[in-house]
Amino acid sequence: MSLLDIAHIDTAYGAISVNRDVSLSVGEGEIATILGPNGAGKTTLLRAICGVVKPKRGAILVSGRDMTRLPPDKLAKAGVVMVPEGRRIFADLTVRENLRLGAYAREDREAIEADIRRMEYYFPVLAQKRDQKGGALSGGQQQMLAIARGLMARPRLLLLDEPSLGLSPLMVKEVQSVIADLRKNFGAAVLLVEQNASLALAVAERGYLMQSGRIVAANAIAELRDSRLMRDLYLGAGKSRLGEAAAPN
Amino acid sequence: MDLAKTESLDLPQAEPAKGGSVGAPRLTWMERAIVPAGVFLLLIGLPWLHPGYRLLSLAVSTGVNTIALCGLAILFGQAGIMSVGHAALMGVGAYAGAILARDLDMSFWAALPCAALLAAAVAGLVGLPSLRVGGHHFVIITFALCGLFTIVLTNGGAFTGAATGLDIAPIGTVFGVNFSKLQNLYLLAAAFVLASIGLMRLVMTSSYGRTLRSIRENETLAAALGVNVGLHKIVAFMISGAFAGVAGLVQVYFLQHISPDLYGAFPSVYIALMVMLGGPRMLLGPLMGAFIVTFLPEVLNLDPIDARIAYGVGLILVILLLPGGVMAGLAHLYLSCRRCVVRS
Amino acid sequence: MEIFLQQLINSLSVASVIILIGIGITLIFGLTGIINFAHGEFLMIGGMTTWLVVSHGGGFLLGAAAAVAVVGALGFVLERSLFRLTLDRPMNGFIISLGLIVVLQHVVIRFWNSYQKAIPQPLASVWEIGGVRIVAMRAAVVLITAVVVAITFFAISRSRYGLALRASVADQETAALMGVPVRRYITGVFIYGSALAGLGGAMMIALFPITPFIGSVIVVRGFAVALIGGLGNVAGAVLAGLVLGLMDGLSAGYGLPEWTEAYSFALMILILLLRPQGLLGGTAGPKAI
Repeated sequence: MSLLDIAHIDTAYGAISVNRDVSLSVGEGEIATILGPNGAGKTTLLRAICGVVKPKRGAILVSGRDMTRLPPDKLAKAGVVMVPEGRRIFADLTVRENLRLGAYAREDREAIEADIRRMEYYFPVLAQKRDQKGGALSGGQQQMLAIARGLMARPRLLLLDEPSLGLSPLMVKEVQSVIADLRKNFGAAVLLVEQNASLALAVAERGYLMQSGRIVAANAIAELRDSRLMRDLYLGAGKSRLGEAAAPN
Repeated sequence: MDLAKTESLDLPQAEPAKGGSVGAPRLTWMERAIVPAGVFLLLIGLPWLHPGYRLLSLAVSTGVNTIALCGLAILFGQAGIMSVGHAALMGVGAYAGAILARDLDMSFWAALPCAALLAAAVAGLVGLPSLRVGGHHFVIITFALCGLFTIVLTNGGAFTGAATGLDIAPIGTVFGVNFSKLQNLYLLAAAFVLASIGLMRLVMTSSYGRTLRSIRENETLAAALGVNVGLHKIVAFMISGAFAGVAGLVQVYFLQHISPDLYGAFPSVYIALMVMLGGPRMLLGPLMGAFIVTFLPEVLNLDPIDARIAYGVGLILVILLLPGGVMAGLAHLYLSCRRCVVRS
Repeated sequence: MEIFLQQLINSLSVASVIILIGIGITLIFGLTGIINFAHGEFLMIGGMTTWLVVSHGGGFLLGAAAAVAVVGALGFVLERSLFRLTLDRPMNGFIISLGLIVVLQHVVIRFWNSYQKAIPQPLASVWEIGGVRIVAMRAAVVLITAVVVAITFFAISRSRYGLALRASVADQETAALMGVPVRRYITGVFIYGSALAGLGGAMMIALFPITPFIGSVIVVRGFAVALIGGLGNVAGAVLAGLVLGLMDGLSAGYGLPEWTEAYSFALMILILLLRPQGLLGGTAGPKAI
């Protein structure tokens, strides 16, 4: 029994099937990744895990408890927190307010305040800009805020959807080091969805390859990196921006 | 990636089937034709059934509303744009007719193209800036413009007849037909109704209709495919305005007296209500909607207050249970009966 | 000068009623995208409830409390049974509200006829301050509204619930990811908005007689206020209410009274076209990111 177990999940938008028979798991404190080209269904899967999308079939278990069709607030309370694609910062709320909102599902007042200070310590830019509106931050800063906001919920599992999207290479490096230290500093496991293979390959321990909504490979990161499938999916070595590689569909 | 929800496709509609409705039961050509044919015969033959003055008048009112509703059905049913301003557009046609008759001695026939064009122009003018904003905002703008229209009319002094309104002489005799006789006026109105329904169907089945529907389904996608969304929305609004203008003109020559409160925000609400009730995408939807709201209660001699409560409740039920309107509901009913009969 | 101040207080009292429904509208529309035109009928029912209580011997305060309770409950029932079903398609919510206007108006007419209803002035005194005659009731309305606005504002900007509400108005889906039970907030906002409308109705009937048709007249003002101020923005609604109230007062006192209503329509249309997010900035609706 792992922290997160997904068994035979099918998802669809109306009549259009997105994910088919997806099974994977994430252990306590582990950093796992799902790689795949644009449109493979990675985001939809994450949305199904955190309760925004209801799967048509299959089960989602968190520490053995069935959480398959529960709404997002229940998942958040159970410690499964999503940092959505595109960051989705509340632009009109201040940085502090964004952080505080991240802790909505929690009851422990004082600990929440302590955690805010902790976030400001780990992400100094949040301390500097604490009373500014979220919209005033740069892309990279917003990504830090989004991750910090997710961490405010004291998650056991943090779902990261394409954190490197739209960021400069320098910022990507910073995001990378934050993710690598998440277990050490915050005790959270991470399920990372990325098109940017080099980031994922650098931080993850285990990985899954997704294509056209299905898992086509599952392995330890080193094996995955060297696999034929990986090279077939992403044409040519040295291409780090996988979205640019021609996707089969 | 935005995957829009696909709508339920198994509804037999006035417009041609989409590719996705494979396997959905469809009515045969004969079945589709029989009800409209019957209705049209009834429409034309009504005077010979000796309905009496009151019923015939009601029928003309219903007809007038139907003309405007056909326009609104094109705007809402096809392009997906809701407007609560159609009574004002009818008012443009009506007041244009009355003023042209009074000041320029124009007859009904001469005023006809003017009313249509003027109403279309007003719609275009209104639509130009306001169709860019979202659907909700547009609805409120049309509602506010209606209110504004009535205020302008009421304060228009002698030109618009102010609060008392304007009078107009009846149509008079043309080609030997005396239009001050209600029967003949009715037939004229019926002709317009048939023409409106025909035009509406023409738009629905044409490629233009398909373009409008693509805008309704997914605007961004349509724009990406090269559709000039802004222009088409305005043109659709103008077309619906033209219908309303004609309806208003027929109305003023029928009532022979008009006043601002006929064309305000609340009459517009009733018109939107009628189109939703009848079914904005069905051939006979507009007629059914006008029939239910304008004709039926009077005929059944319902207490006007109870009748209104009934429409309100009826509208709510129809929206929740029969999203395609009453006509769509009837079509479904017929299909289920047919399935039962076929099985046995 | 005195006349101007008097006009000001008069317009402020009317503006107060409009602000009360404007707040409800801005929150409900901002959070759900549903244009509930029947909100005006909520105000009317509030006024009618107050009238019923007062004409049966109850005091005004009891009547006002009853109005708040009855309309708040009505809002709850309608949200649960009807509006909830249209959350995916807010346009349907709008159309249902049209049906509701007809139903609510005519049910009231059926039982209590369509003539004017009035209650005796709860506060009959008139104050003289520096040569300006201020009708006590009008001042009371302004005061009560100010208190309500202050409470609402405080709750929205300081409390945890207010924060969650503002986040939900800005981005419903992400708020849900944080654990905000958005559906419950929608119900809450409906109840609160309706209760405020009920209070507005009680205030209105304390100032002048009402008919069952008053709702339809007021509701457009309420939407104007919400849109001009910015959807979901309470401060915006208050500001817009004050601006419109001022315009009304000036128009009635110095300008062309027949055009008074036209000004608020015109301003609303202008804002919708030129600055659709409103004066103080609001959300573009729940589907916007």
